[in-house]
Amino acid sequence: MKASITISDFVAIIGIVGIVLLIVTQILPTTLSTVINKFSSYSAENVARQLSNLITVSGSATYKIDIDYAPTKDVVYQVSIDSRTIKVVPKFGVNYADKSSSTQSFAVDLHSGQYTDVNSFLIGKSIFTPQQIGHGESKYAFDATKQ
Amino acid sequence: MVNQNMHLMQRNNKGIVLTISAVVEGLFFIGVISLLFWLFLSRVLEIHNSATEANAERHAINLANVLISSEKLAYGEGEICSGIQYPCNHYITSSSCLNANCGWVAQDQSCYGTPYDCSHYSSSSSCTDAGCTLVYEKEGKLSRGILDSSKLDSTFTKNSVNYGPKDIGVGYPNTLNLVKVIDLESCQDNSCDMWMAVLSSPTTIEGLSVAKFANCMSDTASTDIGSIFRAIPAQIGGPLVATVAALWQPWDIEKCIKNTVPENVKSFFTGSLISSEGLPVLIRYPNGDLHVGRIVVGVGEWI
Repeated sequence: MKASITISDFVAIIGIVGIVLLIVTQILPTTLSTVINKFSSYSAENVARQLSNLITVSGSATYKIDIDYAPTKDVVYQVSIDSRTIKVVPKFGVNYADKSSSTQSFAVDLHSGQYTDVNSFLIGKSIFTPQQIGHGESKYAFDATKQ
Repeated sequence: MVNQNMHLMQRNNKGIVLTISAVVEGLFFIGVISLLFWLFLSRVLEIHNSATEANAERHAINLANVLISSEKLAYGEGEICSGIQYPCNHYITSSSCLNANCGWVAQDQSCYGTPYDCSHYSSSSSCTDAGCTLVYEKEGKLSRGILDSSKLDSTFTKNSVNYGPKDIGVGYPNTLNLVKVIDLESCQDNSCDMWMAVLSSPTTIEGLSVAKFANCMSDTASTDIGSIFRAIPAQIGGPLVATVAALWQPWDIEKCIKNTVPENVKSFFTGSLISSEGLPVLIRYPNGDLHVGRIVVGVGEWI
């Protein structure tokens, strides 16, 4: 028996192959890239790194600086500060993500504190001079809220 | 007629088979995507930023930037008053300087001093305030990048090594923060004036790399059925290797090493020791001389 194929079968196969190729070469990489980028920017590692760097770099201001950092409105974090380290735990919709906490260190004195369900951060530095007499001293402040 | 019917049935069957195969292909493809997504959620989210980053170098540069702006080291504009003659009426002497404990204040309200006995200024038409220490930090008039030699003298050790930690409120935790300030214009016979200090910083057990590595390993240890198959060939390396092979996948161990072992240790192993040549600074001496120098900061993480 001789195998035969109709034009419609041929077109269907070509169509399926074409769609599969399109998905594999175009849509899948784009989607994966977008998802990875999104998760990377929201990730605890990234947020903790940004915060620790911003806290340290605020010390480079000679007088006063206020830095606002709001990585996302979609995800909230639990943030704790102690002994010049900052720990960030994200609260994602998926259970896996809770494991991905990150602890980063910074180089200036900042008061200890814990902040729950926050996603907007304010870092401040100013020179404080008691009674406006004597040597000034750098004071750092950190606050976090939910947007 | 029968042949024609058979041929028609065969063609229909073939069409159905093709359709079913297309559907199966589609389902397979959806399954592959689902698997990838599951892998992403279960594995990729766990990993830390994979970009290899020179942590120690970044910390050293950040710390150097903070130090050259710190009121503990940087020169404040107000101190230009020191040793310079001013007319006494420049100072308010009546209300704010009645006793030795009060501060004296310049009339323009821009110059603040340490507690000082202002009776010194009351009799003559001009006076030398060589003993006063004026600071301008409050007004933000610190000169970033210009280090004050007198502040360096009081905070650091000059031309000798003292590993006693100095607390100036700056320094990364669980690290050795070593700071050197070199006066390049003072160099003679391969020797330069240099101030050195080890900055103190908090040290916590959980912040040590060993503890972080242990935590990471305990989090990733697994006793699944595959552990038997991993352990059997690893017996060649001895019981310890077999146990390690049974409990951890190679990529879990790699992940823990990558994320918890300090950069300086990794650099040592890879032979590419990260070092910084330091940031350029100016060093200001009490007589007003400015010397070109460098501040070199080394940050080494405790293991």
